[in-house]
Amino acid sequence: MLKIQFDDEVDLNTIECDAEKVFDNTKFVEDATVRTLIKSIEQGEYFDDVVFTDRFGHQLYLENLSTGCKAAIGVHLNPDKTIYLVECGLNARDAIINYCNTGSVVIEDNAISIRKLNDENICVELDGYLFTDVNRLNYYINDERPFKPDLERKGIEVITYVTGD
Amino acid sequence: MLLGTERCKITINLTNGLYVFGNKSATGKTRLYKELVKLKAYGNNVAAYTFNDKLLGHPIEDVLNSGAEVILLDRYDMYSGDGVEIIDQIKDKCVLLIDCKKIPDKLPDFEGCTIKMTRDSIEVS
Repeated sequence: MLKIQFDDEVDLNTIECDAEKVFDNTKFVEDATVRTLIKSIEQGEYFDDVVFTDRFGHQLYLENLSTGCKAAIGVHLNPDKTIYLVECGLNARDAIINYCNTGSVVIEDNAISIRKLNDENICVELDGYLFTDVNRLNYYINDERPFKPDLERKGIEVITYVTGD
Repeated sequence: MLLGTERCKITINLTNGLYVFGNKSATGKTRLYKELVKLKAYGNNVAAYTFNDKLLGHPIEDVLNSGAEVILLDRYDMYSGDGVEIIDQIKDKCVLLIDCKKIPDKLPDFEGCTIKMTRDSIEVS
């Protein structure tokens, strides 16, 4: 599950704000999500753990990925870290929310709706609710929050944490 | 304004003023930063600054007061608010481009700009 928080509700000194630094210190592991993030944000292709193919067909070192794409890969490969997406453009933010099913991010509530990028369900936690649909998440952020959401509307459920003895 | 090298031609289709790039990743802003740093080294009257310059202890004021015709502040969200007084003073004397997703309150009035990148060119308009 990808956890979302808003930047006016988080102590930014306690989270990762430099997405480039996080990426540089991340052991690169290729998987379908990494490939999708590179394709969605860079319009490029994963090649190997050192280079990618950019939109013009050139093979470039991964350090030449955009900051937004590095942030996205950093989120996906560092589920234990909370990463501030302040440097992410809207396309990178939307790719992260659509394609990352793990990790934790802090975003700005800029009133710009998140784009739905495919027909797959998302897996996002916000305020203790699980969202499986981008449009339902947008409706909650823009029209319901901070009040209690309508749980009858499809795409949202309360997360119940089970604690063991 | 035409700049650049045989490898990468740069066109700045803007008059003097303060401009902020659109809120999109992977458009070529950091490539433009790298090209401008290279062009400055080759003697062009341009300047560029990024977060790593700050981490290395280089003052943003040096770049803003350099008298360059084109100045780019890349990754400004990471040093948001730095140099705003000087930005306000110089914004009509050069083309000042800022890569910034979250606009700081103190930033003077600005216009939006777009960047178009091809394999061998970058155009800002």
